Amino acid sequence: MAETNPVVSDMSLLTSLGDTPDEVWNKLYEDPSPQLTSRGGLLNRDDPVPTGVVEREFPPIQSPLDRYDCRNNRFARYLADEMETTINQRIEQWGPSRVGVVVGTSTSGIRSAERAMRRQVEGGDFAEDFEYAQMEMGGLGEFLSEYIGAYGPTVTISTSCSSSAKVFNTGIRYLEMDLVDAVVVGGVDTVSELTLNGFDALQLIASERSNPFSKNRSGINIGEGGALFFLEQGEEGVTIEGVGESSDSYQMNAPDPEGDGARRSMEQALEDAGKTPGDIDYINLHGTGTRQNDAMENKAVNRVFGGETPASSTKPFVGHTLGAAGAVEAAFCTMALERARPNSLALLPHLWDGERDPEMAPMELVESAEERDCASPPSVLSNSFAFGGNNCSVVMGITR
Amino acid sequence: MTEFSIHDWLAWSPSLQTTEEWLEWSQSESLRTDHRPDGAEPDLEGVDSRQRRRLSRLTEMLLYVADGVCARAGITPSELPSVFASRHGEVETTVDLLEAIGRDGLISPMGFSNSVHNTASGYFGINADNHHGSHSVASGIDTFPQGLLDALALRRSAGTDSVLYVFGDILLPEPLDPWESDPPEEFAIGMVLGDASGENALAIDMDKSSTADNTARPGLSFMNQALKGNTSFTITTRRYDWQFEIDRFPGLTS
Repeated sequence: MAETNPVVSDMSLLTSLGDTPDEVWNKLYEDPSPQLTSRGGLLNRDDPVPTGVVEREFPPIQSPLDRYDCRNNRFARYLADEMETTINQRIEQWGPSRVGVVVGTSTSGIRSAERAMRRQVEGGDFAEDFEYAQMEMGGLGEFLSEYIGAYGPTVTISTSCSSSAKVFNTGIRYLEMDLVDAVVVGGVDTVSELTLNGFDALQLIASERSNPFSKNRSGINIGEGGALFFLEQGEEGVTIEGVGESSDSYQMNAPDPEGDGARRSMEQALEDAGKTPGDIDYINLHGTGTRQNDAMENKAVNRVFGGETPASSTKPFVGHTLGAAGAVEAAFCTMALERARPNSLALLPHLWDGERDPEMAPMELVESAEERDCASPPSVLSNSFAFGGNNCSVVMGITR
Repeated sequence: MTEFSIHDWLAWSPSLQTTEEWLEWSQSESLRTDHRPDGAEPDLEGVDSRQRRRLSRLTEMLLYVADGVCARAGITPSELPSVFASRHGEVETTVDLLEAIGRDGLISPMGFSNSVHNTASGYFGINADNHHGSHSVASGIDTFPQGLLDALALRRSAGTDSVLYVFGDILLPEPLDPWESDPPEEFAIGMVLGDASGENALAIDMDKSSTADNTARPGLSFMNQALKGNTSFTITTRRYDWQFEIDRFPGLTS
């Protein structure tokens, strides 16, 4: 790890709760109100399902970047615009080649390809209003790099639900390796027929709001949105203290039920941060609400932390934002750290039906949004565990 | 420049499989590697046949070079973190699913889980009992060199001596073929990379592109230059100038 941990100099956020950190904070913490919209039209079921959609519409991406125009990149452009002053000032200060872009997505602009394919199936022209740059995974990073004018290392990580957690790992190492002086990290995902119907085919989508760690839990809600972070060396702010990664090496679409991979991921993050489990004041759980994830995450968290560390899953608020979840939930953690008093932490509430799963080990799920005093500057840990057991945990702190 | 080293490499394409074939290719004018584009597939002996039937051609290519380069380097495949880089990823499987959705048909759960960009990474980890972190990445035309930087970053994060870096792409299927690059990069390469103290030293640097003309396929261009024995060269894409310095490239008979 570097001498000092990189700080978050700026951040932007877009979810079903709102377009700005203030709006999101209001519905996440001040007046907790999950925002899920009923969505029908799935291929294999008649009932509509709750999804965490972003209602706001964004205008098309103009020339000369119009080949990248898709909803996913319009979200990205919005998030970059919200950080425009910081980004422009730093690119001016360091030079374009010293600012990198490391972002995650699982969807990219697949919606554009879906529409193009429907056109073709109905006898129309696939290529009308479609460019491959919209669909390819690397398109998100490339578009952002072009849009903000940053020509340092640029990569899109696509590892399903851990995509935009791993971006923190790569981003901080690029800083350590002196490849960059600053790096924009984050993630964006947008709801698509492919992901809705794909997860439904795996029977992982719940008919009602997800109910993580409840004995009645029955699956996920798909969500969308994104977050971007401007990371660089700095004196004060929310810091990235450590990142850990691991693989379950178990099955392609189920986690290791023993939670060994999850445990390793958290332990590695703690070691990277130079922290012990007792130093963590809050865990933002992956907590998707599937029977399998929650059972194994419960085991793993209990093994590493015991049963008393305050924890919650914030997915009931915005849905599971898949490739953007790592970044969106890191944004929630950033706000929890910086919006509390010094040496205090805003605990994010866990929304569920309150019915403990009797097979689970003890877990301290946060009952209501409240500030809790900490013995020292707080640290939090955020989990993201993906398909094929592709795991990542991020430890964040704050220097005032 | 960012310094690192390469223990070994293994590359596969429909028409080039042995080191000798790749060396011969490097002396030719053309960068094409798809002379037998009849769906030739690598021979995945170590992989269970039921699993093999489910794998896309891209995943087979990536697994073949991943396992093969570890064997060649004398490294147990469970021992190191990995980065799998592909510009197009599981595009064949994805197009099949899009067609199914377009017809309002059913999509298979297996099809969906094998359409994610990290499919090959997942199968590699499962087959190798590998618990290290693994990335799957893409960066458009610059995927090969950008992925290589991510591999160096992951090695540093994992604190291991080596990292496995795998890059591969297949031809774009219809109806995406109008967007195919020229020449297409239909090949896969696995590399075991180490830090700057290793025997076969390399260095990489990058700058904003000096030209807007898209001239090179970085993966094939790199192979072509390295196998010719060139020790210092620049590969220019639409977005970047990639500079390489090579002390010694494994497999070249001096």
